[in-house]
Amino acid sequence: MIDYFACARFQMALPRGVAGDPDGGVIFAAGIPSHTLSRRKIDKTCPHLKRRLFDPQLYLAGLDASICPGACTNLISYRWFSGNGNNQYESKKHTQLEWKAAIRKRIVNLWPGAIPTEPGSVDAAISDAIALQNALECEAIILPAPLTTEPTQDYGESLEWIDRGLRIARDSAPGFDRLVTIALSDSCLRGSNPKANTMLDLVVDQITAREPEGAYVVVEQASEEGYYITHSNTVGALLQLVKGLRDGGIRRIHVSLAGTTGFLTLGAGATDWSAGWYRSTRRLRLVDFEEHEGRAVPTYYSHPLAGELHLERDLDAVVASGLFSEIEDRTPAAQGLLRAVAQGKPVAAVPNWQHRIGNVTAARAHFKSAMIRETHRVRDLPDSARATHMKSWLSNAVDLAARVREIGPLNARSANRHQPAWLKAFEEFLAAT
Amino acid sequence: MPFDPPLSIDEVQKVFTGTFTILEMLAPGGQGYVFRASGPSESGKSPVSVALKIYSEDQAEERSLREVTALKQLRCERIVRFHAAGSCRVRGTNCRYIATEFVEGESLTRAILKSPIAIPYVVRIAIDLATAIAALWEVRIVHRDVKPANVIRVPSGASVLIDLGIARHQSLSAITTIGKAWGTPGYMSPEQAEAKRSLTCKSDIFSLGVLLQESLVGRHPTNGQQHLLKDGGVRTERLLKNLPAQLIAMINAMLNRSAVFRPTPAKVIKELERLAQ
Repeated sequence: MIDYFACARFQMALPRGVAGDPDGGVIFAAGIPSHTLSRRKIDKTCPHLKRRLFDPQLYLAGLDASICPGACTNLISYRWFSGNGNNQYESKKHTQLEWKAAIRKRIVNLWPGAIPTEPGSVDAAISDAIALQNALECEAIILPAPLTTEPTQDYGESLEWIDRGLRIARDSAPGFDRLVTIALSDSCLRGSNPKANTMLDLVVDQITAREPEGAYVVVEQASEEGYYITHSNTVGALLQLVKGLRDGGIRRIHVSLAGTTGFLTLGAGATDWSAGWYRSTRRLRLVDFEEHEGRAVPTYYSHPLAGELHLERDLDAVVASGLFSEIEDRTPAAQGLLRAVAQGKPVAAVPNWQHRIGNVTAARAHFKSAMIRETHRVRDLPDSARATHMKSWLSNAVDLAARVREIGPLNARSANRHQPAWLKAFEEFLAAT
Repeated sequence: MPFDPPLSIDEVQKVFTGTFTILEMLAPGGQGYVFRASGPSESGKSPVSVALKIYSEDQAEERSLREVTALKQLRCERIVRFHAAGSCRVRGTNCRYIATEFVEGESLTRAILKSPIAIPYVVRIAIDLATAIAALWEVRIVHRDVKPANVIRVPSGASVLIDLGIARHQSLSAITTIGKAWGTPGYMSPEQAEAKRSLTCKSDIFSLGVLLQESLVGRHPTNGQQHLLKDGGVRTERLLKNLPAQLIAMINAMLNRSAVFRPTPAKVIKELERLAQ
């Protein structure tokens, strides 16, 4: 199984124009209140979520409600965050909007800001998370676990959650694959060479010795701001983690919220991955949950480049340099843009690709189409050819990125600097294995 | 153990008055004193025979309630039954003690001294001990001292893993054991000897691999030298010819340098039961 899962928050439908079908979807707790989710007719309205996972996102327990009131309001609607079940939505008492407004007003006082620690509360939280996933008819159960943020932090807390989760799921959801959450901050990963990172060994040893059917891996991007992980140690650690889990007999490894690094991990043994186009579904960065003004602008994803280009000036500059034919990524959603480029027109001449706040439908559809296409391409390769495929993809991307850099300084949102680090990490990973 | 002259039954009896009746000394010295004693059963009705082991503070770590609770939960015929553990003061020295069921039988060390063990019995020992390791891991305890001296072959022919003296709950091992290697040289997994991180059942599986080689060959594969196990165990086919390929592969996998490549206890049991048939 090599699958790409789309990411679903409040908005679950795919953007218009996606070519091909994602193999499933992951629904994120922070994106939608519990009562709204349970009322959704998912199968009817979102066929791509027929195969679905639900991420309870316990690793967000440390969010600061005073600066992330929206996400915390959604999260507290789930019992593993609210604890006693008070303040749950009740349709007889209020509308969903009224509930949201009332809770949001008091969220700073209501939000626990920490995970439960009493054994009884931990068990209750896990049981609630499992029960909801059962009710949602998820294809597997993601067992919640907290975020590990320090390399010196005792992983015991996560193991406690994992052990309890495995036991409770075995009894309450027999027959379902249990995916244990491994939520690590990049601050645990970027400081040391993956081969010498004892935390990775610890995590791999401990998880594989418990023999869960699967693992659900998320890496918090605490140390960098971009949409692409740029540190080779972080990328290498993720590859090593996936490989270790695979070597240890874990059947299903889903890498989520790691951007297109998730795709790269398919070359290390991951079975499925998920990442959306918006930053809230692309990466796990806690500051993304803070409420800022501003909305997204479109970018053009290029799989050959293993990155994307800002559209205000950068794509036009690439076209002018003559490099675009090597960078172009053909999807139905990008057809209009490619046609315009071929006719010598600027991006601004293509309405659904113009650099304009909120004008992102085509960019999103294009990104997802490319990810579906590339994931299925990897799926069609024999196991033994996947690593070579990834290496050759990255080698080409490094070359292209270097030539793009020669054009001159580009917008920070244009991703053309991480490629050498990815290739280095992947080559070192291959050499070590 | 810092007692010179050695501890006597009488002075140990004084320490445990009201708890255990000390009957005889089973083993004095280096790895702690072991006495056979009788003590109260769980139901408190008839006394039971226990092995009471006394260590100095640097030979065993303090047990938490969590660990004692986990040890008490153990219910497996292939592992010695835990009775009690705690701290005591012997001859003015702070000590720790652990009381476990007294298991009648012959130690595997003694059996190996007589002659190498025949393949079918080794397979049986492997299954029994993997069952014990699995039971320990079920409550997240790593034995950390799997070796022939800690295996008793009971009259029925089954093997029982004894001596929970340095067995450790995984929630505590990360905190308390980093930097000091607890275990017996020559049997420790590379990660146990390095003492850099908390262990799993896979560490006990490594020790079991060494024990199986020793049982088959009749001598320790590295003469007890731990540093020769730094990169994993000795290849089984180098020690002995004409073993079933399946058994060689299993023992070699158990002795892999990397814990992730070692089989889980469940896998050892499954594979070897197939071989036993």
